[in-house]
Amino acid sequence: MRRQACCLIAFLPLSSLAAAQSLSGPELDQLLDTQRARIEALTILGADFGLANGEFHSTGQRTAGTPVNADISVNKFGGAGDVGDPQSLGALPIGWQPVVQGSMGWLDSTNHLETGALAGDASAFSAYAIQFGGGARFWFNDALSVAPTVMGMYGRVANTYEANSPYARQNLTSLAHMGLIDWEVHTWTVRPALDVQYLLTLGRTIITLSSDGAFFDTQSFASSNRHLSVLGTAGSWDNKIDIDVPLGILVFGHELRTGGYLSRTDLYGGLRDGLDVEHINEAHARVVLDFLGQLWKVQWIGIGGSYLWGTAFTGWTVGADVMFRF
Amino acid sequence: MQAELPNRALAHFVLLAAILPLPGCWTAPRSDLQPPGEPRIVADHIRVRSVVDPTVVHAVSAQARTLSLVFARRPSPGVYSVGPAVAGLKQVKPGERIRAVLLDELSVCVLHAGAPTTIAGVRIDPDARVLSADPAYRLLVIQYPDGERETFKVDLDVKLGAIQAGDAVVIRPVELVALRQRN
Repeated sequence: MRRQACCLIAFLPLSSLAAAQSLSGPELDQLLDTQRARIEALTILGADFGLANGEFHSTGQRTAGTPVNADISVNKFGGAGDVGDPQSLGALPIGWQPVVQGSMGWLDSTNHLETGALAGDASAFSAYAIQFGGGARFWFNDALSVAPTVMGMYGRVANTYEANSPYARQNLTSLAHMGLIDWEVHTWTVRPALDVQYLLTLGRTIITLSSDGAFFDTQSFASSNRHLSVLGTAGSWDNKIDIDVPLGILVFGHELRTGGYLSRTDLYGGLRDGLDVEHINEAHARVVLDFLGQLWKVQWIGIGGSYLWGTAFTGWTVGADVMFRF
Repeated sequence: MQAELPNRALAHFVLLAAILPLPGCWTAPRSDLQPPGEPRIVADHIRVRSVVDPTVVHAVSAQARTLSLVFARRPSPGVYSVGPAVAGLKQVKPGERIRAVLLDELSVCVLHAGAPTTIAGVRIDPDARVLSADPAYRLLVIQYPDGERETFKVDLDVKLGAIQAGDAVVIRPVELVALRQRN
């Protein structure tokens, strides 16, 4: 199982809060829709193993509007793994093996408001989510495989608003009543996905080409505010090239390996709208020690780091890089 | 909120799923294949370490510091010299069950139908056959006559690329590296 990752942010047009008192029904609904997309996106970003973790800084918005100054921290543990060796699928010339996937994570982000009537305020989001599921990987030859999977995910997203501006102090109760600030929502998500993978070997080097599409159907089942419920769909499509290079050097009895990957993840639906990000690029590098066949279920242990960039944001992550083989 | 579906992405995936499976077909690894060519030794002196738990002690010689172990998968007991780090050899009795860390030496050969053959004047009587060899992670998987499999991590200098499924494997006992008595 491998830690993968990634992500970003969009923030409610917080400047709209300042005008919320005078909003008509449709305008308020529009604001709440943005809020709902964000809840959906933060839940997915907070735990999904297909999106990266790390420290991010949003430098602006995908669409024109008030510049944002937001920092986001996403921490996750999880990944996906194939179980055992492929087995024959009846009399068909196809091999198969079970796939297990799981992840849990938490996210914290704070948007500092620096202009307008809300200058001096801060809006903080926190999300916690856990997901688990599985499927099967089907091998059509020794290189090509396809893995359809289904996962279920629980998430909790909350907002706390720090009112320092005179306007926010005066209207805090109204804004909270409308469901624009100081709320908490619990959601569940169904995540069907399809991963297509192709393995190439050059000597002892392994190159993996993969394309992974995931669909998210999210609904809320509990909310602290009656105006705030979530029912949305989202998607991600990740295309990646990974290289795994053995160096032929032993360190403490284990071979040193290096490698990394380049990936691009396109976001759709609530993920794109809620994060205000269209795609995420990631460049990852790692240095690891090979433990396969030497330590139970462990393929490698080492360190890795990523640089992420995309629509109006940059991010990075450094941490332990551990791969399991079940 | 109902968001638009990623139609373009879905269309690409449906296309990939439909087209990519077409070339080739998957076959399960088999050890009963006949590698091409005349009988010969493909690789020799491949040192591998394994943990056997439990194994039964067949005979002990404290003076010669040797231990004979019985394996369910091999036809005859294997005689190992006892490594210098192993203590308490005098307490080990024949018939006792132990956990043993073993050092063996493998020879990989091409034989006709895996049958015993004489190569360069030496009779080769195989213990197992190769199921698969993974050069990238230096893993050699062998299969015993009873169908059981064992995976070895081989040294960096072993040319696993020359080893094929179906090659015969001869296991020579070298050293008992560690042991622990079982109740």
